[in-house]
Amino acid sequence: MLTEARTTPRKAQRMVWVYVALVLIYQTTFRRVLVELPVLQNWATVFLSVVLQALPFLVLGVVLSAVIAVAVPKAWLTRALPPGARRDVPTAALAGVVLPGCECSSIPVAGRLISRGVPESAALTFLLAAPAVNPVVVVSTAVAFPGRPVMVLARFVASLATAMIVGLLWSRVPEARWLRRPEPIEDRVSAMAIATTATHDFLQAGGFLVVGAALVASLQTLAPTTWLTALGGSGPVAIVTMGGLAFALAVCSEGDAFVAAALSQFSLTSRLAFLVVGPMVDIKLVLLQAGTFGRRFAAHFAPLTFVTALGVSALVGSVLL
Amino acid sequence: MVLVLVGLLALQMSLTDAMLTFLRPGMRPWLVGAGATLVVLGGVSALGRRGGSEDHSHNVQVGWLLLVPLCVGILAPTALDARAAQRASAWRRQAFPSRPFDLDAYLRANALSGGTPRLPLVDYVNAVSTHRAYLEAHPIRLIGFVTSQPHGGNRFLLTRFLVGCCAADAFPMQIEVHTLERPPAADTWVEVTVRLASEPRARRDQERRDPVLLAQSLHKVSKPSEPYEYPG
Repeated sequence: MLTEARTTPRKAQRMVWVYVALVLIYQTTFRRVLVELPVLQNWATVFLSVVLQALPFLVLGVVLSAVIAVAVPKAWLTRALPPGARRDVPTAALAGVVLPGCECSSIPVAGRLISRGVPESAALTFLLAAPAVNPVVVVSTAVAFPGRPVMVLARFVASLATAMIVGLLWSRVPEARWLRRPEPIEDRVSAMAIATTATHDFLQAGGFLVVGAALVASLQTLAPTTWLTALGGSGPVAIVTMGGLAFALAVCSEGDAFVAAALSQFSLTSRLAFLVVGPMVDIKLVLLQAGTFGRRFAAHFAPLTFVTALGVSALVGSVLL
Repeated sequence: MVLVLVGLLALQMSLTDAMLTFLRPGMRPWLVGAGATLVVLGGVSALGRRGGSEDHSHNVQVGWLLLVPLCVGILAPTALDARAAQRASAWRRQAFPSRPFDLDAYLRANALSGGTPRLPLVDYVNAVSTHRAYLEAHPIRLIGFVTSQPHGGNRFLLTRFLVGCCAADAFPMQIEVHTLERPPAADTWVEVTVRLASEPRARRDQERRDPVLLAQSLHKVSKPSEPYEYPG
């Protein structure tokens, strides 16, 4: 313990030097490469905008979840939720509607809820519902689809249904079978404990966010456009295509309605699928989930959510749109 | 350490106009808050570590990846350009996103100041379908950057990105402008005074019925501090 305390400042110093060296290399060589390759300029812009856009919500999420992890008594949370998946899943879904969350903040919050004894199914329902159906998303969808209020309704219904169905299905999975529980960092209740927990969660999630943002930027600015021009059409193929597009583009839930509105070569139902899948499963989110709950979890949860979201969208779309 | 640096980057971006290259202006207070929180968090947990009261759980290796956005941020990337517009429009059909807009009220409010009224591109594009006759008869000033067209000549696409949330969802609005002289190079920011070409001509020029604008005057301007336009 003592030796570690002594080495940490030295380690920090070394990191500063590494950073300075990196900056120098960038400024002298990479900068020139970047100026000469406009594609990289756009890559950098999209990459940084995904990171910066997620940053406030991620910070909010880790601070909120640190408070949950450290300060909220276990008994209080378990008492607030009615027992049994039939009742706690809908309650969690409704909590998601009321609390305006971004997809990036709901992941650490769900993680800390689970480590405080909330059933996985309920916490995951909250994780899916919070970013998909909240007042901000409803308003932006209404603005993006003027004269088509039914789109707002369809998105709301389909997202809520997807969150609850996935939650109910997950309640049949034994607890902790695939999900790695975030370890409690501190047991004492103090401001320092909250800061430590939040720092730990931010570094963990932030690292994966960077990888996700890099993938998103590469797909958006470097992947051949023929991949995307080949798309289009209607019917089941379009629904799967749009689901895949939502996964690859990883647009945040407050802005995705504008993208969907512009993709007019696709059927309305397939654009609904885009809006339902986007806030729940995309590259960035799968990586964030892998960082918080482990890879095995992400490998099971993401496909389950993706397929459910597509199925529910097709159903809701055929009834409402 | 990483937290403090990321926080400082967020603060630097949000307290200047640098953030407008990436995010809509409404995100500013959020980004300021996030930056300040990160600086405080990073500072507090560094103090905690120095006090020796902490355990081993800080070694989150993946956290060092956060240095990547820092390095990219130092390079100060520019706003999405003509190349990005061409890419995006290659696969997104030109269904212009709209926002609630009352051209009559806007023009009435601007009538007092005199001169040619200036419109955001997104509102102009919407007005093309609702106020065609007015736009064919009256000149309007528009600001955007140049995207060249393959067939070239005295025409270009006046371009502006519409950003819903961040540059990752940017949608290019492009409208064809015919000029008297050769248009400036791609990515030049220009202010053009235009009239909407009457329908038959537009139809003859292109098989699609995309609107065509006739430039009366064109001059270069510096890039606006808000490079994008925003719906709603």
